[in-house]
Order: sequence, then structure tokens, then C-alpha cells
Amino acid sequence: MSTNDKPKAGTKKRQFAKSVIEIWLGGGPSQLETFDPKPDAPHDYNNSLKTVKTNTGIELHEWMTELAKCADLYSIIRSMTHPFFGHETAAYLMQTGRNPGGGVTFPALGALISSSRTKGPGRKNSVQSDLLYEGELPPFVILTQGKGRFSEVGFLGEEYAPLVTGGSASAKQFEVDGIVPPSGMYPSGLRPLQLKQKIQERFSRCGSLDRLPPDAEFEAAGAAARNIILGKAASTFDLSLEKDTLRKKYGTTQGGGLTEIGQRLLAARRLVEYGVPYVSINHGMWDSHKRHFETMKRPTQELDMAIAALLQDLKDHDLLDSTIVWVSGEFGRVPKVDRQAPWNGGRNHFPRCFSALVAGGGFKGGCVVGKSDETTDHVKERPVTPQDFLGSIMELAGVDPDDRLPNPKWLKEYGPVMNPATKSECGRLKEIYV
Amino acid sequence: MQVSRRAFLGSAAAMALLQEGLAAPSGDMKLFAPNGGQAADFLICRRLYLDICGRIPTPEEVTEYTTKRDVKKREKLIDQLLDSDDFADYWSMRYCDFLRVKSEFPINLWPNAVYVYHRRIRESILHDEPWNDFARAMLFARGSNFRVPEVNFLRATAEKTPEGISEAVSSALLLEPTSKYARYFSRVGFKSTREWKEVVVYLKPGPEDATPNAFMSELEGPLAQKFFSTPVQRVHYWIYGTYARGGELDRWVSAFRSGGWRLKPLLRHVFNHSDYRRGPGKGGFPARRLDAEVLDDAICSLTGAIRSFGSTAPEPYSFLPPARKSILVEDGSIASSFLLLFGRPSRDTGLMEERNNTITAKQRLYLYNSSRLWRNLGNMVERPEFKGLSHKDQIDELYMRFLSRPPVKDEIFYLDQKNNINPRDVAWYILNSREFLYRI
Repeated sequence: MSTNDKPKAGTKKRQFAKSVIEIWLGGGPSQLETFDPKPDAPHDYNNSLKTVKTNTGIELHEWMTELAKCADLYSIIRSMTHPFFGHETAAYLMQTGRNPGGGVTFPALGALISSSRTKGPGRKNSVQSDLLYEGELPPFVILTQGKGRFSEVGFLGEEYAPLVTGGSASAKQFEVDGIVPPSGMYPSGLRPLQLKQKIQERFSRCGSLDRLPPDAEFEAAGAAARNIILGKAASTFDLSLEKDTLRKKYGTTQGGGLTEIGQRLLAARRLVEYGVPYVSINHGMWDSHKRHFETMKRPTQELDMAIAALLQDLKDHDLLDSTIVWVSGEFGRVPKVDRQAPWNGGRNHFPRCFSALVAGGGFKGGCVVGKSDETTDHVKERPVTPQDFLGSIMELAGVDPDDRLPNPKWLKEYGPVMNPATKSECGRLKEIYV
Repeated sequence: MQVSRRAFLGSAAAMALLQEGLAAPSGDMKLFAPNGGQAADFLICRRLYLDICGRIPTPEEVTEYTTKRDVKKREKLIDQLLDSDDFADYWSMRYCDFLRVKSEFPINLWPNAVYVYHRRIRESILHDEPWNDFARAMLFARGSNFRVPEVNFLRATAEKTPEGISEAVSSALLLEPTSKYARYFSRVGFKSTREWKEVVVYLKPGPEDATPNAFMSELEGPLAQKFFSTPVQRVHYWIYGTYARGGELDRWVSAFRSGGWRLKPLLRHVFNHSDYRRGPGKGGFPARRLDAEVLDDAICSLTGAIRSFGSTAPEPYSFLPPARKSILVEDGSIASSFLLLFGRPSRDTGLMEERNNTITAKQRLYLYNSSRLWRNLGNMVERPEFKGLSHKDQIDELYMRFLSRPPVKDEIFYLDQKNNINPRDVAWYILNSREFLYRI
């Protein structure tokens, strides 16, 4: 990526976002039951559900009561569009900004941004110096399950891969494989590592237990791993350090624990506070082919609560201006409900017109970009392509989307990173840049 | 976990012999290279099993080798391993890497085709098909991807154009991806049938010299030198991490030629050569972190852990039997988080560099502190047949299983001091050592 120390001619110097939180709604949530409700459409489109008016006058679906209270903190895009109906191809496009096909797998936004934040071999350029990250945790973290190779590092290779925390998001204690053992207690949970230290102490008297002469690469990787376990980083995942009142805002279950999405978003805020440049929340449950209205109500309400809490929490921690939050799936759902068996009121995949949310980090709040028609069947105004959407996030994160990709190892150079749409009515989301 | 007490620990004399030969001041390389810089017997044995079979030898296998008094024992072991099913399993994985065997994006061979193609490749390795015969079979094949496995060779490219096929073919057969042979593939056509995901490879009308068959003549004619050194270079890269050059390349190619362009005679030459016997360390035999699949299989077989492979990406959904070895997962589109973490190749380009065997902080984090791994080690030491051993035998057992050697004097000294140290801690410690994680 190019050095952005000097602003481009004619533009004011921008304060770039330090971190990005991506809330990935895998499967594709319905635009109608989230950010683009159509109360005046026929019953077969909206199931006669109503809307809720937000504090800025925008209307959201009636399941989104918490986000309705803080619409000044975020903006909505109601004209997302692309041509891919399959999960894998659509997700690839929405993650990488590249059309599927061709001989190589491109890196996703998380890898592009996080790799620009660290110094390392093979990286020609970097972002401006105050955006560089030197924390112990990897610069790219996914909570809790990986999204598969098409939504991660692509050809950049394993060293740019995210830390996939694993663990159960619904467990009372956030269990992070490799960092927080199941017992979850600090620091007794670190017993195995401490034992190793004891073993080594004992052996320093009579020589090393390691039989082979030290290898610099192996030792450096080990030291970095030990720093994560024994340093401040591990406590980043200890959500019990947060006040109960705050945890409740993120959403709790009947058993008293946090909801899955609440736990992940609270952890995301702690990670951003720690300094991690890119946190991705893989929250995939939105593929509602069958009985859409019965199955989607509770997840949507939990999501609504958790995002609202996250935005407010980031603001309270003075992190919202330096953190971009974006929320989307790979596509939306078909506007007309399919009432036939076996769907029984389901919605199928629909990429032609769907919605996304952006907040913080240089995006204005309280705005709506683009417009859909009466049923969200088509984009009516201001189409937004995945490339322009992701390119805007990159731009505000201080990584030039028009630059060429670095030459990774054996491959020829590819670029530009995010191909801007050619149609004049498209373009990056400059109207909602602060 | 199978306990080897009878086979190894029961033989006190063998144990003493090994320990006397191996005991050395710590940090001293004599443990690994006791005489004149040559690798110790146990290490040679471990290397051969790892390089030929993709697995760590059992204590029984190591003991049999190290205690045998036979000047030809290395040669015999090499022959025996090259004839094993394990060899075919492991080396077909390597072939599938550069032949881009995967069902889904961006190669899209589709699941059924992957299985028949993998079987064909494995058969070729098992029966040691000559390299030129293998290439000819691939280039001459026409028909259904489900019924004629070889046609998948021409399909294994993201871009199914003459240029794309040329790049895939030249990458596989010449180690040099280029579109300049596109002419030979300009008549190759693909058509679907009424069976889901079946594709028929056929030749469209056109000039006789513009066919894959004609390219075969090119390979055995003007391109012969490059074509026949390609497998040699791959083997050199797999074993030593670099490509062969100069006199060494000539010697290897010559061994390959005199073996009738077959893999096994070439490998016999490589593994019997004195270079392969060098001790580890600076300027010696190069260390290589175990392949992701090999490490996964080693940890599972040592701890008795079972993990299952399943994937919803290739449709129809694929679920492999739980005990399936990682090296035997045919489809590059089916992976696990462990395999991705440890740098298994994506099989998108088929280039050698796709496999990443560097050690990273995330990998060491996993090995140090993964709760799953820790649980598996706990289950391992709780098994009745292990628990029934004396503490000393437990430690010996762990060293033999994980490192293919018994503990040496100062290790024993330490572990004795630490009365009744939990064997799980010892296993964990060994698992995190470079001696275990690398082929040295």
C-alpha cells in the first residue's frame, strides 16, 4: 500500500481510522426486516410488519428498536448491489472486492488493512506511521470461527492470516483456543506454560533441555506466542472485567450469560481498545430459506441490541471516531416471501438490492445512501457496488484503494486493489465522509 | 495409544545400547550425529519414515532398525518403505498439490472427479508409472471427468482457455507456468452432460498438430531436458528445500533415467546417498517443519485424538470418515483450521511455494496452549495401558513415541529429580520442541 503521509493534492488532511470492526452477517440477512423496511408494500412482501421511527427520522424495521434510538451514530446504505446469487461467490466479492473466477484467490479487506498496519518482510510500503500496530495480538482477529479461505488472506499466505479465536461464544467465559484455557481462570489457566518456564529454570543449571542448537525463527515465534499468553493481551478476552450493567446492554440470555453476538461485540470493543486494527465478527445465521419470520425475529433483535450497545460503548470510550464499524452479509433476501412448501414463508438469496450499515471512523452518522424501489426489488437511486463499499472503508482506514496490491512472493502485481465502478452514478461513499 | 513395552522397553539390552550411544552433554550434537558428523541411526530411521511415508515411526520400527546389525539395513528399509501403502498415500498428496486436485473454486474439478483423479494418481505412484507414461496418459485422455480420471489434468485450471490450460500443463510438467504452448490446447473443448457436474473433455475440429498429443511429442523432443528434470527438481525441493543445480542435478537426472524415469529408483538414489546421512545443524542436513498434514496425523495418532473432516463447500456435501488421515484428504477444498494454520497449500496455482512450512507465532501459540491439544494429551496419559506403566517407563514411552529415541542421561537425571512429574507435562514439553516439530 502506498505511503499516505502526504495528503493528495486538493484534499484536506484526514484523520484515518485506526481500527475496523466488521460484523459479517453470513448467509445474507433480509434488507426488509432490518434497514430497509417497506410498510406500504403488500403483505407478501412485509408480512404486515411495521416500522419504528429513529431519533433522526429514518425508519427501521420494528425489530430494531435499540438502533432506532441512536441513528445519529451510523449511516445506512439501501442500494447495495451485485450479480452473484451463490453464498461462496457473493461472499468472496463482498470480502475481497473481486469478482470470483481467475486463477488466484485475493485477500479479503481484513487482510489488506491489517497487513498494511504491520512491518514485515516483503512489504514495500506502509500506512502513515501513527497507524502502525505493534501489539502482541495479531493485527487481524476473527471471532470466533473462520470464514473460510475465500474470505481471509488469499494469496498473501499464512503469515497474514487472522487469529481465529475458536471457543464457544455462548460460554460464560470467553474461551479462546491457545490463549484462554477452558478453566478460564487467570493466571492459573496458564499452568502449562509456567511449567515450561520452571523446567527451563531447572535446566539452566545443567544445560538446556532443548537438544538442538537454537533456531532464530523458531525462538522468535515462541517468544511472540509467550508474550500473548503471559502479557496483557490475554486479559483482552476476559469479559468478566466489564461491569454487569454494560454487559446487559449488549444483551444477555435467560441463563444470565451474554448472547453470542453480544459476547463477540463486547470482545471486539476490548480488542479495538487494545489496538487491534481489524476485528471480524463471523455471525452467520441469516440464510432463512424457510419460515423466515419465525426464525429471524430473535436473532435480529439480539443483533440490534448488540450493535447499538457497541456503538454507544465505542463512543463512551472515545473510540468511535477512530473505529469503522461495518455490517453486511454477502447479499439480502428475495423481497417476495415464498409461502409454498417446503419454504413455508421463507426468503431466498437476493443480491440485486440489499442493505448495509457503516459507522464511525470518518463516516457520518444519521444518513441514508441510495434508495430501493417499493419492494426492494431494484435499486432506484445511487447503486453501491461491493468494490466501492469496501474501497470507502479502505480509504477511511488510510489504505489507498487505488494503489496496486503488493507483489506477494511469486505472483505478478495485481491492481488496483478495489476497482471503482465505472458507471457515473456509482462511486465511493464520499457523501457520508466526515 | 498402543504401548510398545514388549517390543522396546522389554529389551533392556537394546535400551542400554541406545542410551550409551546417545547420551551426550546437552547442546552437544553427538546425540544426533555421534560419529563423524553422520546422523544417528534413530534419526535416519525417523527421517526416512517422515520423508517416504509422511509419518513418525513407531517405537517398534525404530528399535528394529537401530538394533539391527546389518550393513545394508538402510538400503533395505528404503526399499521396504517405498513399497508401502504409506508411501503411495503421502506422495500422492504431494502430486495432488501440484496437479491442483480440488473440487471447488478456483479449480472446480468437482467432488466425484477429485476422487477418481486422486485414485488414479495414487495408483500411478504405487505402481511406479514412468513419468513420460504418466504425462502421456494425462495428455491423451478424452471423455468424462467422472469416468476417465486422466481428463481432469486438462481441467485443473481456473481459466479453461488454451492459455489457461497451457499454464497449468507447463506448470505441472515443466515447472514453468507459461501460456506459450496455448496452440496445443486450442482444440480442447469442455461440454456438460445431463449428469450433475459431469464434464466431457473432447477435441474440436482443427489441425492435427494442434493437440495435447502433439505437445507430448514436444515434451519428449525439444523440451525433453526440462521435462525429465521436472520430477527431479520437485523431489530435491521436497527433501532439501531448494532446487538442484550443476553436477548434483546431472547425477539425479542420470539416476532417474537409468531407473526408466520412475520415481522409486530416483528416490533410492537420493535416500541412499551420503548427503542424506549428514547430521543436523549448521551446514548439515536442512531441518524442515513437518507438513501441516503430517503434523496433524502425528498428533492424532500419538494422542489418539479423532477429528473429522466435513465440508459444505463442495456440493454434494462431503463428510470423510473420522479416522481419515490428513495426508489422505483427496480434496484440496476440504480443510480444517489446523491444516490452514500450519500452511497446507491451497492448490490454486500448483506452485511449489504454495506450501508454507515456516513456523509462526500463531502456530506456537496453538501448540503451547490449545485447550483441545491439552485435553488430548490428558486423554492419552489416562488410558489404562499407559497408566499401568511405571513412571520411568511412561517417560521412556513418551520419548520413544514422540522423538523416536529414549531420554538421555541428563534428561533422565532431571526427570528423576522431579519425582513423579506428570507425564502429560512431559508430553506437552516434547510436543513443543523443535526436535519433534521438525524433520531434522
